[in-house]
Amino acid sequence: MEKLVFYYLAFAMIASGIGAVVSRNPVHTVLFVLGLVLHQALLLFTLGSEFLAAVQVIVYAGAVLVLFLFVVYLINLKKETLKRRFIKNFSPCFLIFLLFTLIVVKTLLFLPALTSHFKARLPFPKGGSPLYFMAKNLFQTYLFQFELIGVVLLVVVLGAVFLLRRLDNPSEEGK
Amino acid sequence: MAYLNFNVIGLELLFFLIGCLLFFVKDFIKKEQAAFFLSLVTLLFALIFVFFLPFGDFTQSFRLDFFSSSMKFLMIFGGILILLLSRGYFNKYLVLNYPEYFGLLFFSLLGSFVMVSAMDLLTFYIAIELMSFPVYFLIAMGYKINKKGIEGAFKYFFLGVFSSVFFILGIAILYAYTGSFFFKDLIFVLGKKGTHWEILLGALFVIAGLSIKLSFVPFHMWAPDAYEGASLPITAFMSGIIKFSVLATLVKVMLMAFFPLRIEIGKIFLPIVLLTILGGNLMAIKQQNLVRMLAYSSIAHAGYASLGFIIADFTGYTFTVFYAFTYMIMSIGAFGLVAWLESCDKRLVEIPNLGILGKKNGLVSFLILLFMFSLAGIPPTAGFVAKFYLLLGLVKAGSWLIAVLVLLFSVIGAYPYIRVVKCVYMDKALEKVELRPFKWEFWLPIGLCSVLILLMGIYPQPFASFFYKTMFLYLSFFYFGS
Repeated sequence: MEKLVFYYLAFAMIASGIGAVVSRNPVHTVLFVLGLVLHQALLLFTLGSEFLAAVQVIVYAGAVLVLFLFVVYLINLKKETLKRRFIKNFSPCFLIFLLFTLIVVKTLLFLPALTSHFKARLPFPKGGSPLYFMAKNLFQTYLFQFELIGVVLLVVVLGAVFLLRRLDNPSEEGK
Repeated sequence: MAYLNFNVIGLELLFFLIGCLLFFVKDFIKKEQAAFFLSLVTLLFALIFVFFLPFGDFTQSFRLDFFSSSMKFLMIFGGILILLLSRGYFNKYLVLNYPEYFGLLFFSLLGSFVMVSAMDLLTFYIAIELMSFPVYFLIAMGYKINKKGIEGAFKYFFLGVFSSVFFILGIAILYAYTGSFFFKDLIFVLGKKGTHWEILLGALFVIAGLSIKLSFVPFHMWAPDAYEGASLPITAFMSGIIKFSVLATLVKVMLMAFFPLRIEIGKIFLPIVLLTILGGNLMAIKQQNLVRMLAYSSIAHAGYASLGFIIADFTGYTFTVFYAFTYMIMSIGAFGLVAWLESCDKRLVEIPNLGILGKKNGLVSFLILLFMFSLAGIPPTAGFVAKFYLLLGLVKAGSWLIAVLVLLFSVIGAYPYIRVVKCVYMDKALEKVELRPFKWEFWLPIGLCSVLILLMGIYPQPFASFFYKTMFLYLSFFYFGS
């Protein structure tokens, strides 16, 4: 039963990922990504971390994708007018693509043999609230990284505001 | 068991606070140069302050030790040079003189400080991001004077995203096989397990991610455009300090995390490094623009510096850091001279137009000769010594074939530099160009660089032994101390 659910989720995720790339209507793309994110949340749920699943739904599906939808509506994207195919004819790019696909397929075939070497455990051991383990990781083991990400986000916000307000404004030419 | 020893991250806290303050310093002090002087004073203070900080851990992810504090000292020194060059560059391009410029520079330096002291792959990754994001904005700032700024910033940004993807994939693979992000666990597991190709795969992806920052050849496309689009002090920052800090951190990671696998990882590096040296040198030949030529030469020099990873022993890593430092000094000097040339006249950036310098300004001509000889690796300069050490290490490690190849490539690579010297001294001055005075903001940093280059070229022993001792003390502190 577990495997059945997992395979359903995996195939649904791959299918919606492909759909997001292939579809020509931007709104459809966003909806496909929404499907992807919801299935991902279910996958997290089966792994036993309800909290992350909830966060996934609230943050990604609830906030980020709605923001994307707003952007798509705001800038009023038309259907892509381009009708060219991805790969027109035999080109070096196509060769590289084939090579990469080969590597990925080979890795996938070897994956069951490889997983026996895995040393990583699930971050949330059974028999305990996942929230507790997550908080412990976030605020004890990885505290420094957590604070550092805050600095990175601050820098990005400062830089973006700076670029928009200063450089885009022709009236403010330096001094 | 988190050790929150705030003394250890004193330098980072200082840079974070001053960096934030710089963004709104204009609201307090109405003076034109307030931001510049504040950042200069802070950097000069930090140059001394870095020696008074206690060694130790801040949680398990950050460690201040002899290696990282001496690397930080060198980075702050480079930062001062960049700051002075920026001041001189702003004399011409006043539109760039925003306090945010200095603030972003500080945040980028903060990122490289954290990177050098990182003790696990996750911190390493986040610090790389913290180091790169301000640089994207700083390149985009070049848009004010040069329409290519946005293009360069976007190319660098997109390749930076790729770099993050590779890096995270590598970290994920390493985590899956070793079960930890921390260097101390990684080296323990690798020492027990022996060679596993899965771990090498993870290391390969980590190297691929870093090679975008170092502009190794399969991932070098962004470099000339970004270097040309950015304002020139930022170009010097990118090619000097960022490459230095990434190489120093890579050496640290090799010593601390992948030491049992160093020979195999050297084999991964071999084709990349040879391609990088050959490609960078070949493409530098036909460039007419001085900035683009130096950008390709910067690609080639990152390759030379990484020869130490092929040598894969203690001396090799030492001379990698030594070469990276030498290149940092050389590139800051060379790009500083180009910054002065560009602030005189935009046409002077084209190599065939340089003939006027030999007639009008003997000092600058001599400095150009010095830096070009050093980049080419001609004896009484630091470039020769650094290359010599690396080749010596290669021969001693038994890979003399690689040494011969590198020697041949560097002969090819000497052409573009010699051509610049020939254009300066032998070409006719074709057009009337007004030269601006060579002010202190330029001659102070460039003069410091040239003195260092000559000093390291004539008497390299103290510098080389400084780097060797840094490594040695570092390793002994890591294995036996704490």
